Amino acid sequence: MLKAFELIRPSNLAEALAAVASGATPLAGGTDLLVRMKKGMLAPKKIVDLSGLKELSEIKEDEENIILGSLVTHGDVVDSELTNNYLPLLVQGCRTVGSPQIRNTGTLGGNIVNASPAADSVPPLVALGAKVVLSSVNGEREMKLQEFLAGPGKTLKRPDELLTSIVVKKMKPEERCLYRKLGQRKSLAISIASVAVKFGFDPETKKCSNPGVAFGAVGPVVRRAVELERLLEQKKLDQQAIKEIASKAREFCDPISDIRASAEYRREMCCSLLYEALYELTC
Amino acid sequence: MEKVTVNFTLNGDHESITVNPNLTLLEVIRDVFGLTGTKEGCGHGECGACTVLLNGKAVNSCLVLISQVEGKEVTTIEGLSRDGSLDPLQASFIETGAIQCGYCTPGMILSAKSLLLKNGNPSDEEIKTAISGNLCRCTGYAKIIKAIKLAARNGKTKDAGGES
Repeated sequence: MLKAFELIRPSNLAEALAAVASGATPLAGGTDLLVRMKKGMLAPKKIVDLSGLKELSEIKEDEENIILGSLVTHGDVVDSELTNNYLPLLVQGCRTVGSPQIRNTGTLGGNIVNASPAADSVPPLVALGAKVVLSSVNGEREMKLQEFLAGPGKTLKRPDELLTSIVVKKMKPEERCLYRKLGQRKSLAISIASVAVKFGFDPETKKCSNPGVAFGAVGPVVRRAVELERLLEQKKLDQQAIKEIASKAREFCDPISDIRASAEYRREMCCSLLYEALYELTC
Repeated sequence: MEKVTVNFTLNGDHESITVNPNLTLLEVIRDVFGLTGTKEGCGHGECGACTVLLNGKAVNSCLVLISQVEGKEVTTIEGLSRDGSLDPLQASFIETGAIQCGYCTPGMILSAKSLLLKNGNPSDEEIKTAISGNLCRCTGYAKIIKAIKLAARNGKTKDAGGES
């Protein structure tokens, strides 16, 4: 049984923010928090259950952006018309999270704030240049997701803040994208390495525009590979060029060896995953 | 520890319970309501034995805190049969022999139910994805997939008013 705690059940965001300011641990989907509590890694004295907050559970759009509430689940992203139309790369990433049961409960906000380098929704969001909105009783601030991620399990979220929404520019209809993940098996597998790629592509000239590339599970945080993006933009993406660019992927990752794979294997897999993605998107 | 009152629907009945907040949905289903069809396997969301439907969607009840079901509909394996007749999935699992030790069966059937609720004619791939969070160490899954296809066919026949 879980250790005893005090439970706060806010009826609106203001009450939730007050609870967070008082030191309560936020409970979103619970798929990570409850596992950590069961394993004895965490024993919060106070928990604020966010699950009733409808205002954080919506997917909305404005002219340029899709705005995802932090309580939107991975399953919501997979099913939503808005994300399928405008953020297919994120849909692909969310589809590989855990299992159907985990996707139906786990939230985007939770996946981001846990700051696992292997979080599957994060490489797509970073490749798309997503921003996060942080709220507290004192107000709101916005920052790039890439800057928000500070290290394994670490973010720039202050203790009194709650991640309330994620803002992502809509992809253009002509943009191509792919999220490719290597795990021990298809379901319930923590990524060994993953890559998210998106760009506009002209099949005639084989030139790409506005590229985004981000690797997961091969560094302390998910990071955009800006140098690779530049190479993609410069070259005519024929077979030879994508092979060359993919082989450079090892220079832009900084993996560790752990129970899932060695650093050297991860480096090689980055090259392979990027090659597969580029091949599929351009050939 | 201050208790919480949680209102929700369990297998079609409105329930209001006042319990310690550190209980999971699984503990409430089994220990408060005595519905032992829902099993605990790993307790960490890896095996799917504790799968129930929350508003029609499959979730691991071992990873849901009881306060999270406030205002929602919970369906367990006990809630699938109607007026004494089995759900098409339960019937097809029996007919196909998709059960050996039976421990994974309630969770497996509820994951399948979640799929059929939104897709009455699933492909093999869609079935495999739907049960990808449920481990079975006996059957090798082939008969389970066969049973879900059979239930989809039978369910459709029923919905179409007996026409095949």
